[in-house]
Amino acid sequence: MTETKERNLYEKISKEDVYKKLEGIFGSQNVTDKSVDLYPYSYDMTECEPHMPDFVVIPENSAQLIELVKFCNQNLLPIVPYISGNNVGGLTIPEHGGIVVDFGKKMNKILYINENMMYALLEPGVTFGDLKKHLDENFPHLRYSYPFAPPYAGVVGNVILSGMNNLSCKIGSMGDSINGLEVITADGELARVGSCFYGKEEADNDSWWSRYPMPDLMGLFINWQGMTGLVTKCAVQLWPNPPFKKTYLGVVFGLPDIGPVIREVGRTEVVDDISAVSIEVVKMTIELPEPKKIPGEPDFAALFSISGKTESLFKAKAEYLKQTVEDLKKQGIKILLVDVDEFSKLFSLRVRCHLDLPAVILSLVEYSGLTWFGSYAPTHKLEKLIPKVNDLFLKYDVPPFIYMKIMKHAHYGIFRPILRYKKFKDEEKIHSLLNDIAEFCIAEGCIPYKTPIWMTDKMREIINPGWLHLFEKIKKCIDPNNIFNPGRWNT
Amino acid sequence: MISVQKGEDLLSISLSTILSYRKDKPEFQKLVVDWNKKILIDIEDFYPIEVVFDRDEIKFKVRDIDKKVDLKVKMNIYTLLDLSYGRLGPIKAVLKRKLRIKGLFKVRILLKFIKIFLKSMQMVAADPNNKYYELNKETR
Repeated sequence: MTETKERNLYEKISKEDVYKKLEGIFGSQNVTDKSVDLYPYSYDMTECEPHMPDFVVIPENSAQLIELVKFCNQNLLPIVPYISGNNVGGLTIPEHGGIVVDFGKKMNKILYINENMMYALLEPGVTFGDLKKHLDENFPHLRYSYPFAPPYAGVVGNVILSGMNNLSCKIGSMGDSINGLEVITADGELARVGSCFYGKEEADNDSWWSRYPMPDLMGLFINWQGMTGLVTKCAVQLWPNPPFKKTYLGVVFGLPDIGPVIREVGRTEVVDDISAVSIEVVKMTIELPEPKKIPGEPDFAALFSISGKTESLFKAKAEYLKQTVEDLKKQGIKILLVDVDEFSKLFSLRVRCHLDLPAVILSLVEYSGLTWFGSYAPTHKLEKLIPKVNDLFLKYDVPPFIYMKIMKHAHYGIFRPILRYKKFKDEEKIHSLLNDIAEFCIAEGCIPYKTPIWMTDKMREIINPGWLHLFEKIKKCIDPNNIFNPGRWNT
Repeated sequence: MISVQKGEDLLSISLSTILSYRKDKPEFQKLVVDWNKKILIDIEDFYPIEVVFDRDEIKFKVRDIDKKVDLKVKMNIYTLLDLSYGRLGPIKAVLKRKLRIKGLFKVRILLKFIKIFLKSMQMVAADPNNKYYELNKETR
């Protein structure tokens, strides 16, 4: 019998009977309770404490999941959704044990591409690599946007957790790019939210074209980390794939000066994506795992992507970007802007892994441990955040790894200090550094996303009580038995 | 066989990439081996870097740079890119003072510098391969 932190799971039903029921729903090939199978689902690369699930199931369709949810709700068994386990926040660690639902193995189909209204209807297990390949081969005039994540990371997990991708300067949070969801709620009812809500039977594939204008129930599932239901279908927006594309590299001298640079370039409204990293990260990319900055080197490298449907449109955008950089120079900011295609050949082609997304980024995977303070940030605070966090890295003798993005043409930003470490060796130091970074950044108004439990605990201390009460009322109303990913956000 | 030091700062990383490009080619080896010269390259807005040709080794120094070097070259990053991608020739660059050289009258050193550096930069720039993941199959 599995003892969990909160409760004995098997008061209402024996573990053996649960296994039999799961076998009945999913078939014996798609259920396991063997430790050797469960172990990989018990941890991730972060500092979050591991916890074993009791079962892992591999679903093939929604009908099986409806049956599972009804059964779990009746018997108070936790359900934890899992796609590929690449998140950096312990999001799929079964905090209270229970049943991990692995969508990645069989519920991974691209169900439909609507060329006219430009969206893709996906099962939860579709990966970035799947989607890119499918679009490149069948719909080359359409594109999706991709994060600094490996091709085997999940698309749906990224959007419902408000990730940010390489069109984020244009479109903002990926949560905003969801047109519709199919979800199973705690009572086992299948609900469709978004414009696909018409119809008593299965939704028409062509009906997943908008999130609005009905009451927006999508928010009940976005950023809830699987605490409110199981998402079984998701429609995500696609965009035209323009023929003219180029990425420029800006190297900026002076730590805080990267703030105004990315803000001003973001406001030009001509850039698809802006991402900036500490210069040390550039060196990590080319096989220098513990780089030191030398005097005279720039402090940040920023990538600015531009695209155009016609050459003249593309050139006009590029000209405006260059003019903006010249204006920044006149304000005393030292920045050099170069074509990254040209520069990367003479520097190191390895930096191109940041351009050809999705990709395995060496600097993110070369150690056994990876964690971050990934946050949405008020961009006017960047000048304060950057030097302080840079100093914290140096205080702990860790090479600075600050990653930033400008979202939706500078309405807001992403501030993400990233920590790579050797598990079981540097853990104590890294946790202490991450804690210091989190305390400082939260106090400055940064809002972490894909948040680990220890961090939401910290946030709860300063979130207004009204929000917390509303959050708890909604959670209790929608999942009264707390079966969906219990423990997240300290539930 | 020529060994090129692995760079640890941005400029030496770049110079290492450029000078490693044809390190296994006999004509390059012939140019470099036993040249035994010190070349100071100053990329404006960055920092000076000394390239030391020492028998069959090419090394980089960004600290404790020698006061006496055989050739000093100064340009900005845009000139470096223009020279590499053939938008600007070396003579025109010197005449336009985009490429400033101290030791211009050391003709043999200057010519060899052009053959070693400029030619390598142009060859790296002209290589159509962009597949970073095929660069070095021996690592990782």
